[in-house]
Amino acid sequence: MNNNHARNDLVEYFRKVSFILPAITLLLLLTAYPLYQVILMSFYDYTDKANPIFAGLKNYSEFIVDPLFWNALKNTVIFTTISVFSGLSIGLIFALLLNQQINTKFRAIFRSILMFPWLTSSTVVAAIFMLLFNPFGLVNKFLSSIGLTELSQTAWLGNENTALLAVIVANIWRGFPFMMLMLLAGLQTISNDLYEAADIDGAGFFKKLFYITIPQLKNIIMTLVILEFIWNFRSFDLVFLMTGGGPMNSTEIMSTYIYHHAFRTLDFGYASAAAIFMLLIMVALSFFYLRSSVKKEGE
Amino acid sequence: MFRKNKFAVYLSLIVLGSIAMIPIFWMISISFRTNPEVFASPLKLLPPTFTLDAFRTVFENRDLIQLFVNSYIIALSVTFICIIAAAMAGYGFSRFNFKGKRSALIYILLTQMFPMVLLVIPYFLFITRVGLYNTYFALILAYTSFALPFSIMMMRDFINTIPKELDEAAKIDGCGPLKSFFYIILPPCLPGLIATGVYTFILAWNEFLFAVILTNSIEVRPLTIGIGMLIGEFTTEWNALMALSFLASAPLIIVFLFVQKYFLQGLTAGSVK
Repeated sequence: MNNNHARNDLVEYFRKVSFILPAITLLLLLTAYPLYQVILMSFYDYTDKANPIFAGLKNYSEFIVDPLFWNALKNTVIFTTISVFSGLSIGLIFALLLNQQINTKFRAIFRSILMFPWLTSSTVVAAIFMLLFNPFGLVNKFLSSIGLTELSQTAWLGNENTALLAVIVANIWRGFPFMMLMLLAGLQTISNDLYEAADIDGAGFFKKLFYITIPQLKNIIMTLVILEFIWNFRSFDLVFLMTGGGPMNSTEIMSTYIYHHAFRTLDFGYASAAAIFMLLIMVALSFFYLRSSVKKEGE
Repeated sequence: MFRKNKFAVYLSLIVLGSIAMIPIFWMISISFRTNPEVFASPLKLLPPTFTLDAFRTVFENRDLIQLFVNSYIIALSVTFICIIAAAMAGYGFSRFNFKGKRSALIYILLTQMFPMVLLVIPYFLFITRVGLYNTYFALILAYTSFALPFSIMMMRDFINTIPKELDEAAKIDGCGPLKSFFYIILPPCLPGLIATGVYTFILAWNEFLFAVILTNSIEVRPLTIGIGMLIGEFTTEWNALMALSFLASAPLIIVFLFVQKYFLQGLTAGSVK
């Protein structure tokens, strides 16, 4: 009897879980197993590629003293921070403009067009911006036409002082539309009464922006900031394609640093250790996102 | 907010929007030029001589056509698998309570934080060992695992907005969970499914890193690699590169224009609260 009861419970449990089972199995197979392997590999010495030997924390102690690793971390933080906050500001400006009472057709067309950058692949974005930032490209033509002759000689991607900035510009361009879209959706949920009340009190544009709009968008801005931080922190393509980390490591970010060690020097152990370190940073960064997303579940 | 000044709104939208679209405009303008005119001085915004040469170069190259075909096969397969798996998982997470649900959810969110370079090393070793190196399947598997986490969360949030009373009514009528999933949940989920599909397709169509590592021949490599290789070769044929970029972006833009209404609904169902 008891046995039967237990079996029924099991059947019931299986029935509930069966819906998430395919996805979870796929994910475990495709991410948990590789993760486990990376952790393992990070403790091995791959000097002899065919017979890696256990090396304890050697890989970790090595990258932690590599100045290029810290340079990559610094560049990643700069790249991510500037990209997220500029993208968010530009996204907010467009979202605010699109949320005004304008012709609905006009709004729909502009909203669609402004999404184009988000739809283009990073290879396309890289190609376009390499052309724009070419020494003879549009950017320099524009600079010389407004009289900045000296600045217009810059090889933006070939100069170690400007390369990171140029890559960031391309990254912001690709990233702002998604934020604009999410913010616009958020703006549309704010009740007009709030603004009307503020109008009666004689509040100006900036007062309304800082006392009504932004507080009302708090949740969505938080979610966006965290998601974009994660996405940008681990991004790879644009930097890899536009500069490959150069010149003089001035655009080397964490993911290109790891890539170079894994696939150029073929030091899988070292690369894995650095990758684990990067994962830990990201988990720490996104702790709050995890907490709020799971809390919604309120199990 | 600044209702009084509608003219200012239109003007700023047009000015700022045009600035934001310069890169797209430039891509198109270059793709209709002859190569010597790419860096024409003085600056010409429109092609001085309008020509389809660049597109001809692209279409004459059989390899490039193959890359398009590969990209479609890979992206469509990933989209198909992802929509099914994500819709089911979203339903499971939205409607049932079971032991381990919280851990499963945390794990899914956690996978979104995995740096791609972290996964690419063991992936490469694994795929080579099982003999899937340089196959569509290797990329389809990889992209599915990238797209699933966000897709599942999106579907869960979307299904959360569908009233539970609907399922309960179906249950009373004798529908099991599977039946109510297909007949009650899926139909109103269309926007969510489309959003998931678009997100997945874009992700799979645009991926680069895994494609570089897991493939090495033109028969399976996707389009992004083709563009990447052209960039790598210290391109002198900018017009052909821009024409290819234009052709690579066009399918996504067209699809997006058709389904963007649903996409918006699906994307924002859960996150805007």
